[in-house]
Amino acid sequence: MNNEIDTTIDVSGRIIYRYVRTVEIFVYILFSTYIPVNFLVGLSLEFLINLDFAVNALYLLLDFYSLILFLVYVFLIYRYRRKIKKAIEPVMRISVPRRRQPERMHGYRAGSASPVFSLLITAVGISALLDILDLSAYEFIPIFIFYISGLIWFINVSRSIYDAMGSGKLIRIDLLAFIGFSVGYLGGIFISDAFFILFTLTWLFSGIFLYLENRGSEPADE
Amino acid sequence: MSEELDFSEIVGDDLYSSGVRTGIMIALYGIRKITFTDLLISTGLPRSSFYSHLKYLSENQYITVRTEITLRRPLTFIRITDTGMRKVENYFRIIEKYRQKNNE
Repeated sequence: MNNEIDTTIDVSGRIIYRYVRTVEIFVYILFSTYIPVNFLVGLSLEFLINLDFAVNALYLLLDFYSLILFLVYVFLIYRYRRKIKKAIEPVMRISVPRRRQPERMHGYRAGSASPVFSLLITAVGISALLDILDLSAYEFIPIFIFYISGLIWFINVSRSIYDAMGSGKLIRIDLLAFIGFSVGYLGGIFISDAFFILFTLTWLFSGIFLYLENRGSEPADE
Repeated sequence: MSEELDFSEIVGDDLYSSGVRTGIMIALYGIRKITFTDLLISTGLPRSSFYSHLKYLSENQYITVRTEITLRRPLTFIRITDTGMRKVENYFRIIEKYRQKNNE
C-alpha cells in the first residue's frame, strides 16, 4: 500500500513540479519586461505630450502610468498564483499528512502563500497612497516589497513541491533571480539606472534557463 | 460513493492499484489539462508503458485525449473528465479513511 502511495506521490509530484516551473517561466520573463515597458511607456507619453495635438488626459496619464502598469502586473501575478495553488493542492492532500506529524497538519496551506501574498496587495495600497500624497520618490519601497514577496512566494511553492516529493532541494535559479533583483533594483534606485539592466537580464536569463531545462527530452523506449 | 468505502476498494480497482495511473489522475485533478509531450516527459516513463496507462485511463473515460490546432502546431491535449474527477475525489476519501484507521 505505502509503495503505491509513494509511486503516486512521486509521479504526481513530478508532473506538478514541471507544470509549476512552466508557469514560473512566464512569470520570470513577464517581470523582466517590467522596467523596459515602464521606460517605453514613459518615453512614448513624453513624445506624445510634445506633439501639437496633445490633450490634457496625457498629462494625467504621465502621472499615473507607473501605477497602472504596476496594477496590471499585480493582477497577472495573482492569476498565476491561483493557477499554481490549484495545481499543487491535490498533491499536498496525499503527501503532506503522510510526511508530517498529524498535529502539524491542522491549518496547513499549500506553499504558505497567503501571508506573503498579502504583502503584494499591501504594496499596491502603499504605492497608491504615495502617489496620492505626491511622494512618488518613495515608490520604490512598495515596489521592492512587491517583488520580494512575489519571489519568496515562488520559492515557497517550489519548496513545497520538493517537500511533497520527499526532498528539500534548493532552487539555484530562483536565488539568482533574487540576487539579480536585490542588486539590480536597489542599485538602479540608489546608484545608477544602468543597474536596472542587471535586474532585467537576470530575470530574463532565469526564465530562458528554466525554459531550456523544462523542455527536456522524451524518455527512450524500452 | 458511500461512507462504507474501505481499503479493499483500492486493491480491487485497477486505477487505484497502479501508483502511476493514480499519480497521473491526481496531477490532472489539479491542472485539468496537459499536453501529451509534457506528461510523457514529466512522468519519465518509457513510451510503451506510458501508452498503456493512457489507454486504460482513456478507455475507462477518466481522461480524454484530443489533438487540437494551436498557434504553434497541432498538439495533443489530455484532459480529465467528470468521471475521472469523481474517481480522484473518491481516492482522497479512501486514503483519509485508511490513514485515520492506521492512526487509531
